Amino acid sequence: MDRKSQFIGKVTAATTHELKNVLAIIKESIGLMQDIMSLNKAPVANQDKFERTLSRMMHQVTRGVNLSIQLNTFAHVADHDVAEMQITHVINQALFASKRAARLKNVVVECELPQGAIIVNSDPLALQMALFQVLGLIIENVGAGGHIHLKSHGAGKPPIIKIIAEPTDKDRKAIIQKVEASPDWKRLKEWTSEINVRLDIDSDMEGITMVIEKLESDISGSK
Amino acid sequence: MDNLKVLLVDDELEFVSTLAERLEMRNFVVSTANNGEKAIESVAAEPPDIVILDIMMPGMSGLAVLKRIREERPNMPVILLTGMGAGCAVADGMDHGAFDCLTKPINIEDLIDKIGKAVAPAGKRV
Repeated sequence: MDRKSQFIGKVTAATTHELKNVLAIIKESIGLMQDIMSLNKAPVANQDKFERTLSRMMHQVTRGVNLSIQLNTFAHVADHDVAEMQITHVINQALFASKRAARLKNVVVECELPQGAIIVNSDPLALQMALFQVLGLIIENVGAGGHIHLKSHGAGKPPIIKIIAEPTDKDRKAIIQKVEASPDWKRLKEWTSEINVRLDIDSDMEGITMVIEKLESDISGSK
Repeated sequence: MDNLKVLLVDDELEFVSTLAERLEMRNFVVSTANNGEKAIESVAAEPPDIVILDIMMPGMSGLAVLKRIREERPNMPVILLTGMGAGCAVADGMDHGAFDCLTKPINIEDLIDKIGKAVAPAGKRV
């Protein structure tokens, strides 16, 4: 793994720890205010507003905690050149990373996680980047109100992630053709082949298939 | 658990003071320490019924403090706190004899539940 990625990973991981401490203090402070209010026998002016506000703050703490957990996990993606990972973990991280881009385009990204464990052996950071960029291409083209479904299976090895576009008013085939014609798609196909990930347009033009072949350490090391 | 003596150890001053207030409102007798050395001194000077100990602190780490407590007071229950879930996994793997581990931000009801189990005579040490 290159030094820059390791540096960013380390700083991000350390910062998420600090963020959790900040959130812990805010949570305890909200809890203390709730304790005080619940012990107060006399009615407090605007009590319902206080309670609603505290509840809203607590909700945001929970949101912040979830974000910092995901960011911490993401930071550790840069720890290894090649690692064994659960495919569900890869997909969940990609959903986290793409959430904002999808929201800005009014696109919903959903996933159907496999029942059993499917293990991929790959470069964790490069694989995340690849899936993120594939999702980005489809998010760009599917149009507002569209959906993207992620499915995975490992029955016919190697493991596969299928990214399916579901537009509301456009022809699905036209979207996939647009993705295929873009220079980004060509570049993406080229560099993912270096980490043994094959990107294909689905035969029935539903979306993109990502075939994750096993990566040996020396292949990644030569990047 | 009225008047149960709890020692809270964490370098985050505001976390410790707020959590202490919340536990005191629930009739615990709380003392605090902001680093490992002070925690060891406090355990020696006025042994608490239970120690709530942050794993990651500057200077003496929570796990080093736990090791010292185990040497000097093998039966004193200790509950570890960590910023990330992985910290609990590491602590469990190291098998230092903490009663349990909680990830911050904690839920006070969970903490009280674990304190209750840890100080109960049948409290099982892991």
